[in-house]
Amino acid sequence: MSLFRHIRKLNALQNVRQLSSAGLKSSTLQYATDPQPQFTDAETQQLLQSMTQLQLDKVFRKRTVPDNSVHTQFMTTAQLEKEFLQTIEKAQQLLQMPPVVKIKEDTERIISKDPALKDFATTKYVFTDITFGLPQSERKVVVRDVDGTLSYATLDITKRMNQLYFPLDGRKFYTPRMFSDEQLFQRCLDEHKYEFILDRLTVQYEPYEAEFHNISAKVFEHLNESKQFDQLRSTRHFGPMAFFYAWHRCIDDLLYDMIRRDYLLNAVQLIALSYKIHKVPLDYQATLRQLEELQPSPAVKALAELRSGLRQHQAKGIENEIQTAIGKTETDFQADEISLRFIEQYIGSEHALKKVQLELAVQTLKELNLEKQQLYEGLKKAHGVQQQAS
Amino acid sequence: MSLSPASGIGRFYKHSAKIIRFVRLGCTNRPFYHIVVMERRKNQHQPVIEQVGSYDPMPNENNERLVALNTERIRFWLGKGAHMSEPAAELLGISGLLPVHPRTYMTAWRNRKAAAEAAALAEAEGSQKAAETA
Amino acid sequence: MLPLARGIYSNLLQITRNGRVAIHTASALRCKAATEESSVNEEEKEAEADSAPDGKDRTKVIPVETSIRYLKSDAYKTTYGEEHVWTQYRRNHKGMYAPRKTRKQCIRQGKISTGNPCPICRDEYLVLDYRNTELLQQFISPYSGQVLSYSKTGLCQKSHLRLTVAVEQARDCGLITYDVPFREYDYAEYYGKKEEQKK
Repeated sequence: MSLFRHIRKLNALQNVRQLSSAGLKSSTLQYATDPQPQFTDAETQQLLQSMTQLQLDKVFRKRTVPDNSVHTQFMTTAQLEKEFLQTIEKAQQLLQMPPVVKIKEDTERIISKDPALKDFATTKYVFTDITFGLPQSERKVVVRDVDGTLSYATLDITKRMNQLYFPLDGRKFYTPRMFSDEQLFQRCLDEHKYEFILDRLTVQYEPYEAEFHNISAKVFEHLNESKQFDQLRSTRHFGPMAFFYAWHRCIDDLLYDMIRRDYLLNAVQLIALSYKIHKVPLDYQATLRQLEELQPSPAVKALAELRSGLRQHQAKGIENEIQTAIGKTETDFQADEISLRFIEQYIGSEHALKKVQLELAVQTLKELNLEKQQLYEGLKKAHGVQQQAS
Repeated sequence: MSLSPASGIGRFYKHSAKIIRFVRLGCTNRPFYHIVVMERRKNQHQPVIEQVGSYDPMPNENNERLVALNTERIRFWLGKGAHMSEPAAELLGISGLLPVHPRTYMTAWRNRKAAAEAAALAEAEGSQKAAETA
Repeated sequence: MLPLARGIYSNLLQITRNGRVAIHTASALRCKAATEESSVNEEEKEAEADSAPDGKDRTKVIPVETSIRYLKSDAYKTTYGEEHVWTQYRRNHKGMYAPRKTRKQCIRQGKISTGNPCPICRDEYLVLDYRNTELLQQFISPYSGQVLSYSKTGLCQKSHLRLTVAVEQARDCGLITYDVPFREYDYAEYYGKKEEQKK
């Protein structure tokens, strides 16, 4: 109890300072039109999910929460297989993207005006419906003003009442200083705590609030400059980030990062997404379909990774060994060829802004791939795999 | 005085008179009310049948008085023929769930009248002072 | 005279490095580290003050910046090594079991009032503040992310309260990161019912 008193005292001091600074300045990039129809589109969702990838180590990393105990159990193979599937499902749940919606405007909705009720009390009354089991958006909050008007509460009051009667875990009643103080926010950005900021943002604000848009836009802009995209890969924020870049036509840095890390499929998907959003008349679907046939989706890949741990003791074929040594299979080389062609087409078009950089990255990757392929074929020949196959 | 749970542990007869009323909790100089359903004949600190809301009569830092109402259960109990205490009926009237209680209109009228009288008095005093100085 | 004394001091320190004595005697060394960084004039003043030292006096307010610098200095390293500031500390108590709570406070009326002050109170250059994250991190469990109990760290009740406040403030300011609880979105709430029907 005394701890809360202390903190509240300190916060009261900080509030005075907050009023003078009046929060963060608004960012430059905003969604001009409603992004929601584009974002919720099934194809976009699929592209974003695939781009996010599914690295199980990252999704299920050890968290510093009060209960992070581990459960160990003996299982049959069938049970284990079931457990694997459940694990993948759970991971996909943890990667659920925060919705991208437009900023909600505050509209005044008056229910009734009663001038005879003027001055019935000295303060206004706020009524909250606490009926069990209602979702937050359907919960009614009404205000009876001193002059007798009964109206629906503003978004601000509604959020406050919801937090009061149905608290969300992790949300603070006041604005955290991290979000209200310009300097502290900048410091967090400079220390590259992107995931922490975004995690906290999702908990503290609703997706339709102006602050949510403002802060997330700032984080993404900073990320675009510092180019540490790998931090957000395989987290729930990667999808909205890619969507943000595609919407604002600044995918080149992310694209460069993807090519450098040899995520060519993702690079193609990113370009396709930007074509889709800006309605560029180019047929990307055929390429995507081809690639999808050649390469498995992230969920399938993660499942294969889980299963590979199970069959470690079994004897492996020589072909498998070569593949794991090089890290690529024949189909991978095929897919790379298709995607490189598509990426080069993009670089050649007028949509790319950092052409030289991208071209260089593609060139290096090509050389590397060629070397790998030669090595692959050489090894195969040396081990006589081809003869066995034929 | 121990707090009874919101789901209610109060025993009641099927056909006894029920009432929606306030229960004063909080402490000295700091009132806080639960809006509850209980048997009419019972004392307010007896176990309740069900808690259907809360009311904080002291304005918070934003100058609001907060009321929470479980409208679904209130309507259920009203449908069952539960009575209402006058303060509870006034509050429900203000919330817009029921028609506004006549007494609220009376208080409003009295407040306005008192304010007008006070204003008139202040004006008279002001003019008197002006006359004296002049 | 003084440098010689200091030399002896440091020798002594090296001999008893692993013992508890080392930590108690470290305060003189720390004074040296602090004065080295400040100007010469101040050093002279310090030297004068050293002639009548009162190791138990805690009336002087040490700014946080000094504390942050101290945690990075060599003096700190020789005193504590790679360990946390509280690992070497042992509570004094009679009988087999320690009292459930630690003492209320180590410093009364600006002076250390006990022979075995807690890890924070014994070293005046350890300042509990939300900006001093390096110090605060030592008191946060790497497994659960919570502030360690005083039964483990041996902090007095007053220091422990100040520690919890500082940690909470640092989290609020984003200086210490923690794992934010996962928030699950119900898409139907944001996209309306039309999307629901489509699916």
